[in-house]
Amino acid sequence: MSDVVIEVKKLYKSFGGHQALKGIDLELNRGEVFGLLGINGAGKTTLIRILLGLLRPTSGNVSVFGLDPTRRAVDIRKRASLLPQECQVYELLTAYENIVYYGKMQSELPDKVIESRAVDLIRLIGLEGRENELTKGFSGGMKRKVLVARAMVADPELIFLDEPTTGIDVLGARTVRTLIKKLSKEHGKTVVLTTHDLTEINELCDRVGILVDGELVALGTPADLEEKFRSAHIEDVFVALVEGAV
Amino acid sequence: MGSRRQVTTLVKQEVRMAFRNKALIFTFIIFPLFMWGLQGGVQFLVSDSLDTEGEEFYIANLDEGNSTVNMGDVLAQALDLATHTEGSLIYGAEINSTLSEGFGYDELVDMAENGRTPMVIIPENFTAVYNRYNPANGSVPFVEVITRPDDSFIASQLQNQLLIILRSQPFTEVTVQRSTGVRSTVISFEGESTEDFFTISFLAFLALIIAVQAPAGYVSTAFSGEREKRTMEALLALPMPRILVLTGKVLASLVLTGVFAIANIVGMLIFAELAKGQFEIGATEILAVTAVLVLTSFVATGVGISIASFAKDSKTATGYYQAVLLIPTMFVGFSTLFGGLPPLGPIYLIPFIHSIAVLEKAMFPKTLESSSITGDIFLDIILHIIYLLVFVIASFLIAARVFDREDILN
Ligand SMILES: Nc1ncnc2c1ncn2[C@@H]1O[C@H](COP(=O)(O)OP(=O)(O)OP(=O)(O)O)[C@@H](O)[C@H]1O
Ligand SMILES: [Mg+2]
Repeated sequence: MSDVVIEVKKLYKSFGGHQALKGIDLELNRGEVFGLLGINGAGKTTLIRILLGLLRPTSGNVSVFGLDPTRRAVDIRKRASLLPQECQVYELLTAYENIVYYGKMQSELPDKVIESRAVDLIRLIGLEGRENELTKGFSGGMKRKVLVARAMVADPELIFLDEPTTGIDVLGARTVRTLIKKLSKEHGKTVVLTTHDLTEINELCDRVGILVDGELVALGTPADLEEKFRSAHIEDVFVALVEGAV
Repeated sequence: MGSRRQVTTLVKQEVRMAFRNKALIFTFIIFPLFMWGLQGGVQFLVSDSLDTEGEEFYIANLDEGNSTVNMGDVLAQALDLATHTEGSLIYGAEINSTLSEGFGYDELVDMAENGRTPMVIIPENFTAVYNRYNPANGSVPFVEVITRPDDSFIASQLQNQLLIILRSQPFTEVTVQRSTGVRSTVISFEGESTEDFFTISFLAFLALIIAVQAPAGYVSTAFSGEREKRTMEALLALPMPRILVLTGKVLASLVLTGVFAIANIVGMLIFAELAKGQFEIGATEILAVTAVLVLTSFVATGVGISIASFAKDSKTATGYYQAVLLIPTMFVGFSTLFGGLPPLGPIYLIPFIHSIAVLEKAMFPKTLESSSITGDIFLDIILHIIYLLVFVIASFLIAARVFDREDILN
């Protein structure tokens, strides 16, 4: 089995006249935690959607697990899950029901396995004891944690997390980060995450890609980038790139 | 296989959420119970608060009869008996028979038109036509009940009592057709059915309104609600083709329609109990009306889904829904309430009229000359159902297309 999980070549995507992605080239390996950085509207969400076959590329080649998302989206999605940006839980389902629901929809694992995975995940995100309450009454951060757990319940090989920690408190964010680390280090999962939190990038990501206006202007480990741009911190690299000072 | 499990899981969750949604419980269970109950209550109060004690009406029997029998007399006697029968619609009313002699038909009609007392005019050929009645050629003699001014309580009670008499022995071959345009009731000998045309039209009218209204809530929650509440993208990112997501939602809506139909049957039973004496409602009527309900709400769901897939939030979806579905429904409802089916014309583009047509053609196979398509009732019914199915399928296809747009993610 090849170690390349995601391969993107000369990817363009436009909406009407507006070009959201302009010739992206990218390769991701198994077990990697990859961070996508970019200001609002840079094209992060668009890229993720294309990888999962939710949007069609305007041109270019994309493959995930060696499959073309425009034709084999169903097969890709059995092995890859998504936590969409600004996504919400079903408020009329309990935390447990929300998680199990997606488990059964996403994987062919037996019900028993999904149910016990859901119980474990609920413990990991610290919602034990409240799993049978309707999520309607949950705080924003609690809901977000349920969604993170939901993205993991089917035991996918590849996980897209579009701003997973936005809106979660400091402790909750740490829980989520610990979960992500565990997934990649202990279970060999590939994780693609977007965030506006640069500390998070430093802490979690093996490699970072910086998107500016639909172009991937930098790609490397956080340390590489800091060195390459002679900056003390990834944040400085980011700001410099975005402002076009480099 | 995998996709079967996905669809059943989806249906289960949709139904589970619907049962936890107060607004949906309201539209699927409370609303039909309330509508039928309310209507029944109105009937009950009307019959209770008004009586015909001391009211007067005329009977003018011009029937010449034949050597053995005068059916006009039989009818007049039945009316007379009703005025003495407690619980009848015209109990306590007085019959004035002074008009039987010395006036011609046209004179009588003229008097009725200009008077204030309702009049039953039995034409001279009543017995002759009654004996000649032949279901095969459908000859149409008639009795006219002039009820002008028709806003009087006694007039409407008299009409309804007449309908009841004409439904029972020996007049069981009579079908009644009522029209709002003409201010008189034309009772004609026609079909085999002995059912009360008005009752069924009225029930169908109510059923239509309820059935179109009901799916709105689910449909807008299930489609635009998912977008509005930001649950749609994760759903679409699951490993199932979008058409299966759509199918699951449609199946869920069918389950809910089943629950809805049961609530309606209970509602109709309550209605039947409350409106006893004014409407005779039996199992056949309830079954037939339930069929209209299910057909109609299925079509409404189909159309609703394609509408809701365009709308970004459920409020907008409900708005579109009302405009696109409810207005034509009221139109169809009112134009079929009294006069049966309208003649073939553009109104038949509106799908719901076809569910009414199925009902009326099945229950009253001979009454609908002007609305006949092929001349064969059975073929007609099939055509009406085909139209409905085509409509449903087209709506689903549109919904599937809309559902496949990239824009659905925003
Ligand atoms: N469906 C769409 N139709 C039209 N334009 C779109 C659509 N989706 C995205 N865009 C545009 O494409 C560009 C990239 O959007 P995208 O959502 O990928 O950005 P992002 O990097 O995820 O931003 P954010 O940090 O705000 O989430 C934006 O200019 C956006 O307006
Ligand atoms: Mg985004």
